Amino acid sequence: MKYGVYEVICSLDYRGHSPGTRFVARLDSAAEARAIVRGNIRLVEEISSLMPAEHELPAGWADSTQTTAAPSGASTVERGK
Amino acid sequence: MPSLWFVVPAVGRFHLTAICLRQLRRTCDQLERHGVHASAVVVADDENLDTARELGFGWVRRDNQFTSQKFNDGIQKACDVAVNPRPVDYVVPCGSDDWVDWRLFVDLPAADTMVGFQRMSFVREDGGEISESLVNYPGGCGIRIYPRQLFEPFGYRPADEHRQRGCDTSILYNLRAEWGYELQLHHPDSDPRQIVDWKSPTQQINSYDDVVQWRRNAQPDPFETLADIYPADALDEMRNYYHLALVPA
Repeated sequence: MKYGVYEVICSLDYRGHSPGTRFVARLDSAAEARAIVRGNIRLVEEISSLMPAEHELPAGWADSTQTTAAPSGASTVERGK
Repeated sequence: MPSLWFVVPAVGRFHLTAICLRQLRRTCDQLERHGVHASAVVVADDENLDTARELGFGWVRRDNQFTSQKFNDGIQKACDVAVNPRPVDYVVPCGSDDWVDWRLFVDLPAADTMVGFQRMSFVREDGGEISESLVNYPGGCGIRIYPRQLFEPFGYRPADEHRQRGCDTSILYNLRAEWGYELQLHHPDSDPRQIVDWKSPTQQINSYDDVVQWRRNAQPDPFETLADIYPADALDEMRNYYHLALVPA
């Protein structure tokens, strides 16, 4: 999953971000390309992970024998876009 | 047995947060007894992480610049196999000043359904009043049950990264944009006392007066009002917290 730091380079807001500001987002690649071609934003930097370096699981979670079962209805979710 | 994590961004208010996290520990223990493998992840960069560790919860160290980033960190820690070998089935964002009744999380939704609760209670900053509220917009209050699958298209970071407030609205907006009519929204009937927001004299996004538009049925003694929902130990701790907070040093 790739994220980007973008800068709004036009004189209008872009997705609620003011001109001249930078924001982090994961944009659909087609939408990103259009916005860059239109001159709304520029990609400042690509980021592969936003998770901070320091994090820990709950005690015993990784060793738990518990399996995660698919909840009822899980199979009904399909992408229909 | 389904699994569920509460995601708790925290900052400061160490005493109040510790009381609420201890109550959340009891909530998780009750859920375990009733067929839900439950825990929590606390996202902070201060003493609250020590409390999280002491209670056996997970944690993510993140500064307090953007609340939405903290929610995203916790959700990703819960759901993403890249950082959790046993990703959970459900995520519930929860404030560090909230209590939630475990009974709300036993009946879990299908993978295309988000559950939002519209009835909750607020306790005034001095602990001297509790009132019921109906948060009657879609999704209700910030306590919501999200199946993990809904977050997958976002790399398990569903909120806009740079928000100080409105994080729950941001998540719902993004989910609707992504899933459209496939996303089901369910508002079960619940007792307003099953979600309690404990207002404190310091550091909070919305004060008791800020939520006046939803307030009704005020009662003078929160601890008596909540006695048949929450354990006496937790209520005693909270009563002492307000007593100490109001006694001049």
